[in-house]
Parts: sequence; structure tokens; C-alpha cells
Amino acid sequence: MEFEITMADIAKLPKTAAQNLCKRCKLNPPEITMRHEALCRDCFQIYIRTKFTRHMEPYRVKKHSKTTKKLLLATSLGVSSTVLLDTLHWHRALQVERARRSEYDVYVVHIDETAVTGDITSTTNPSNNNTTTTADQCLEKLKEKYTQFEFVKFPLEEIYTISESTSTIEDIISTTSGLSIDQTSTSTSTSTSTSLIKLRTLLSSLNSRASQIDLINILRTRLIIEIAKQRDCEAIFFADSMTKMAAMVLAEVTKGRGHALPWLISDGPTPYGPAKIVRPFRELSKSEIISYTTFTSLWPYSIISKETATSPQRPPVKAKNQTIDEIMLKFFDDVSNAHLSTNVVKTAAKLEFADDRDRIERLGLCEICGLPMDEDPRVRKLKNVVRVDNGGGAGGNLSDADARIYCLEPPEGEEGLKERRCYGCRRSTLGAGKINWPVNNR
Amino acid sequence: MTGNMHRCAICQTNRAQVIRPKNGQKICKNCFLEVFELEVHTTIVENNIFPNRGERVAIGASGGKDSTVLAATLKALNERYDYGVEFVLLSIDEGIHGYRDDSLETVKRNAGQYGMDLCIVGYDALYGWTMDKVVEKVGRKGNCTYCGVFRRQALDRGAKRLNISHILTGHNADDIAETVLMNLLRGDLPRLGRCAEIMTASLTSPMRRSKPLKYAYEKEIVLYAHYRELDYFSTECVYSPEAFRGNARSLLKELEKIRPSSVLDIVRSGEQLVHDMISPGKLDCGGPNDQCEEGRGLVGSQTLSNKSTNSELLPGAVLEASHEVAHQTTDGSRTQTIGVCGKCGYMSSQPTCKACVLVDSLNKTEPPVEVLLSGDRDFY
Repeated sequence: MEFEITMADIAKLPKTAAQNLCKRCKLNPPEITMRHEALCRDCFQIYIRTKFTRHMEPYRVKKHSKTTKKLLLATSLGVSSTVLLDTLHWHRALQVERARRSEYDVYVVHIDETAVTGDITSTTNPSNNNTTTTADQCLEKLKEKYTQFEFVKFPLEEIYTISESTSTIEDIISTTSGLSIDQTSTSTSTSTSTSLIKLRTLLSSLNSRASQIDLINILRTRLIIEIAKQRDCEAIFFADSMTKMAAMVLAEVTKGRGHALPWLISDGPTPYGPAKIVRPFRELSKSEIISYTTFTSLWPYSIISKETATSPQRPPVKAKNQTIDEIMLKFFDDVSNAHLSTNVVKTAAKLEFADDRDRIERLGLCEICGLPMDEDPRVRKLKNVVRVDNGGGAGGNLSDADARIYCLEPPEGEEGLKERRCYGCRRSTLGAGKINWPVNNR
Repeated sequence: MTGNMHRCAICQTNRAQVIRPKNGQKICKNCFLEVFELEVHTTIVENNIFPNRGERVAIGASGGKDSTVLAATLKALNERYDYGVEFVLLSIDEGIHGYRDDSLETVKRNAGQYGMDLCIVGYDALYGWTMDKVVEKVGRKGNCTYCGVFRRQALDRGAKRLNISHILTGHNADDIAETVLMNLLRGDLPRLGRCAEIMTASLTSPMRRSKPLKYAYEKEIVLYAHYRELDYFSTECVYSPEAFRGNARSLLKELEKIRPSSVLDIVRSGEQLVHDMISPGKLDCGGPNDQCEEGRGLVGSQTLSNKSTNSELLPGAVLEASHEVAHQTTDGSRTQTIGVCGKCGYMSSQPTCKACVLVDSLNKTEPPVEVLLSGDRDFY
């Protein structure tokens, strides 16, 4: 009979219809399959923004707030950074539209490391003089597009001068605010060049590219934190995706910094200073951010081209010259491993060391990375199991064995290094001798 | 090159033959053997692995490179530094044709070479199943779960039979580093907190287990066996799929290439992840991971599913109790109630121990097989 409708037909009908439409709005054709759901680009955008907004609770418009909060956005000009910039811009514009004012101002900081990493920028623009680098071009484009935000570029070597006095930074800001990108015209150019020499000396004393990049990462973070301090920024925003964070966790474990994992990846206060760390993309995968970039046509605003970001093959680096961070990023870039990033980040976030509370007072901070010091595992275990307070007598023997087992003998004349430098930083500076480290813990 | 090229960094006289992965030191063969043994000795002394003189200690011996090197170094060190302990080789016969039967021959020769007693415990006699039969039944996927659970208990039973309460295993630094990475990758927080421990004791096992080669690189173990001309068996288990561990393993190899100390650095990180919330010995999830004597050949997803079925089997009260254990403080005022398995009498936190659950599942669709577990009961 032609009127007879079976249960099977009913079950079939909406399903076939939905297959051609977005699972959420059921209006538009789906363009992306995300976590087993086919979504249209609008719903996908809502999804990304919802994940982001969840971290913006403290920065909602409040009735009685008098001052505007200052937020520092650290940008590498990479894909995630640009998406975060765009999303923050959307969020702030929404506040202005709805409340006629915004709860916060954004100060975008890019750290220029090209002087020490010798990046692609110098090869694509062989003539250094009066030519803007791709990073500068990108910053210019961003400044035009996001007029509400303030953009500043700092060379990495600034870390040698920034912590010396507060006046230095004010000078830099005043001279760079007009043309913040052109750092050669600043009055501090001479001190910059001596800083650059110091930085290059420091890096050349290290025994591998893996160690160099490790310390560059630390210096970058510490410079950003110093800038945030000087500018009274309440929070520092990093665009780290879940994929990036998983790679970070494994990389730091590999470098021997397991003890610092909770501080390395958790949002909130840091041992460095008053500014909080916020990573609003910590629940988004790299591939989701890449799709978002395509949907919102943000590719021109990043120094990473779409081809580089989406092709599985990275530009070949000599196997021996790879860094630990690069290997880990590559590992999670692999589609077959991508799903593991959730496990890594969630597990690391759950780590909670019971002796953390007094660790900073007890052991102090590492002079290099600025994170709380680690403790010889055996001393720590002894304390936990037997609760011995005087590890004094045994401590001497233990430190000797520590050097023997881990092969981390302190260099001549640096015997107390174990008390000042954490395991990971001792490993990265192994054989470097006495180093001129630019930042102090405060 | 001048005449004094590549002199040993330690003795300054002999020609350097070995580059140590730990620190890049170039040293000669004799200094290498000495340093290797000294490091194992340091590990033993610092961690107080042999607290009692006169104690009999079992060495889990598979006939592979790790356990053979372990037995050889311990024999030498016991004589040199007078630990005053007696070693017994304890081997498990999983019943894998073409693998274990051959490696057991090696262990038998080792027993003669080192003058140690040897005890072999077979899956066949304990559970009525050899691994060959298990694989025939369950297939190659997931058979490591059975092997792991069986081995843990078999080692304990063997040691008990010898009246021994301390088992040494040949886990090396690479094994531990792999396990740390693996537990992070599959999000196993409780195991992450104790996989790097040198000594473990748990409530469901009366045994202490120690890993004296915890800081020894696999490369150096192979080299040590080579220089000492040790007699060992070097075939991988014929059933080992190594899917998940293989993933962590290849990652580790890549890391070792660019910074050879990475293996040790991951071990160090793992040690730092030992946190009080879940302290070793308080909570035993008893996964097959710790039980694999060689610590390999485990597929993550299978462990997880295995665990979940087991918690389903738990009565609500027990589940709650184990939940409490996870949050107790270090003073250990509360303890998990440990009973005995209703079937075999082996220690268990559940009414039926995991091995019996697995044996039951194997027997279910099979014509009744006589399970020879009752013979063991007088040991407990």
C-alpha cells in the first residue's frame, strides 16, 4: 500500500535529512566533522567561542568596576595566536556594543627572537636594512585590522635590560608607542646590541640546539612576565591549544622538569609575580583552530601559511638538530596520536603534590626557570615515608650519589648549583660553565 | 691525530671504547664495567634494597639480557661489598613454545654459572592454561593481559614457595621511561605516581619488588652483557604486539638521539611525579603493567577495559572503600581491607582474585578443565 508507513521509514526519514544538515542548527549544510558531529561553520564558530568564553568569566562587564583591567596577549603571530587575538577582539567588541564600555584593554606583545634563532624571515628578506620582516608586515596588518588593541614588539635580548630598572621600559614604551615596530630607531639601540652580544654568548655556551631552544623558551616567558609586571597587566593570555600543551607536558617531562608540571601548565597565579596565566584555548585541538582560521579567513594575519600549517611534512631539520619540543609537537601532529593529547593534558592537570604548599618556602625558586626547585627524590621519599626532619647527615652522601647516578656533576667552582638550579635547568646548562643569566627571581 | 687520541676519560691510560649515553663520557672497557657495577651498587646502597643480612632474595629471571645482567652484577657485588644476602633465580614458564622453553634453558645454564638455586613456576600447573592455549582461545589481541595478571601471581607464589618475600626484577631505565610516557599518554594517574618507584610493595601482594637496574640504560646493559660474555637469550616474545608501548618506545628512541640523557631525565621526572595523594603501597590497581616481568607487551585499551570490568564486579562498599584509600594521608591511619580470594585463597581486595576471574572466563565455554589451584592453598 502506498499509504502504509513502516517504523523503519520513520526511523529513516529524519536521519537522512539530518545527514545533509548541521547537527546543531539543522539549517545549514555541515562543513566540518568535529568530535563525531557534523557542523556548519556558524555552529562551529559558536563552539569555539563558547570554549573560549568559559575562561573569560573574570573579565565580564561588572556593574561597579571602576578601572579597566589590562590584559597582555602574548603572540607568536602563529595560527593560534591570531585566532585568540580575533576572538578576544570579538569578545571585547561585544562588551562595548552591549554595555557601552569594556571591562579590559588588550596589550599585544610579540617577542622577536629572529636575532638568535635565525628564522625564515631573514632568508626571505635577504637585505636587512630598511626592509620589514614578515613578522613586521604581519604586525602592521594586525594593527590595521584590530584598531582597539595596542601592539608592541620586543626583541628577546631586551630581557637583559628590562629587569635592571623600570625607567628603561618606560623609555622603550614611549619611544616605541608611535612606531612600536621599528626598533632600530629607539634610543636603546646601543644597549640592545650589547644585550644581543650577551644573549648570543649565553646561547653559544650551551651544548645543543635542544638546550638553546629550551632556554630561549624560558627567556621568552620570563620577558613576557616582566613586561606584564611593568605594565601592571592583570593577566597574561597564551594561545596554547590542547595539542600544544600536551607536547609541552611531554617535553618538560623529557627535560627532567616533572616536578614543575603543575606550575607549567595550570592557569592562574604563577610563582613569578602578580599576573595570572590564562590559556583560553586549552580545550581546543590544533586542527580545530586551523579549521577556524580557514572559516574566518584569518590566514593572511598569521606568519604561518596555510600550506605549512596543514601539511604533515615539516621543513626538514637535521635529525640531530631537532629539539625536544619539536619532536613532541611532531608526535601529536601525527593524526594517529592526536587523540592522546587530551589524556596527557588532563592527567598532568590532575597532578597535585601534597608537599607543594611549602615547597617554595622550603626550597626556593630555580634561578633559571623561576619555578619552584625540585628535591632529590630519595630525600623527598624519606621525608614522606619516615618523616625525618634532619636529612642533614644523609644529605651529604645523597648529593654525591645524585651526581653519580644522574651524571650531573656541578662544574668546578659551582658546587652549590644543586640548591639554586633545578634538575632540568642543570641539564640544559650542563657544561656551559658560569653563565650570565639576565633575570632574577623576586 | 696524535698518539693520545681518545684516551679513557677516567683512567687516562687505555683507549676509549665506549661513549656513555648518560653524560657523553668516552671511557675504556674496564672503566665502563667498573662504573656500571658501581652505579648498581650505589643504587642498592642509597635505596637500602638489602636491609637485612642473611635474607634470601629472588631474582625474576627470564633468561633475557636484563635479568641475566642483573644476576651477574648482583653476584659480583654481593661478593665484593658483602651484602650478606643469598640469591635464588625464579623463573616463570608461561608455556610459550619456541620462546620460553628455549629461554628457560638459558636460565638453567645461568643457575649453574652463578651457583644460584633455580625455581620454575609454570602457568600450566598453576592455572591449567599455558599461554599457547590462551592465545589459541582469545587470539593475539589482549593475551598480554592474561600473561601479566598470571605472572604477577605466579612470581608471588613461586617466591612464597621458596619462603622469600623480596623479588628483584630486571627493569631498566628505558623500560621505566617508556612506562612514564605511556602512563601519561593513556592518562593513568595512579600508575604514573608509582611506575618510577624503585621499590614497590602493595596490599594485594605480600612481596616487595625492587628494580636495581632502574638507572641502567638498555644500551649499557647490552654492552655489559657483551663485554662480560654473558650467556643470554635474545628473542622477543612471539606473541608480543607492543602496540602502545611500541609507540612510546619509538618516541623515546627519537628523543635519545638528540639528547641521550633524556631516558634518565624522564626517569627523574617520573620520580618527581610520585605524589602523596596516591602513595605506593596504599592503593593497588594491580594492572598487568607492573606484572609484566619485562614490563612490555601491553596494550593500553585492554588494560582499561580490564579495569572497568573489574570495578563492575566490585560490590559498592568495596568500591567506596578503595575510593577512600585513594585520598588518605601518608600516616596510613586507614587501610584497605584485604581478604582472600574465595576460589584460590590468594590475597585479593575482591571476593575473587583477578587471576581466577580470568581463568573462569577462559573455562566458561570450554569443557570443564581441572584447575589445579587447590594444591597451592597450603601456602597461604
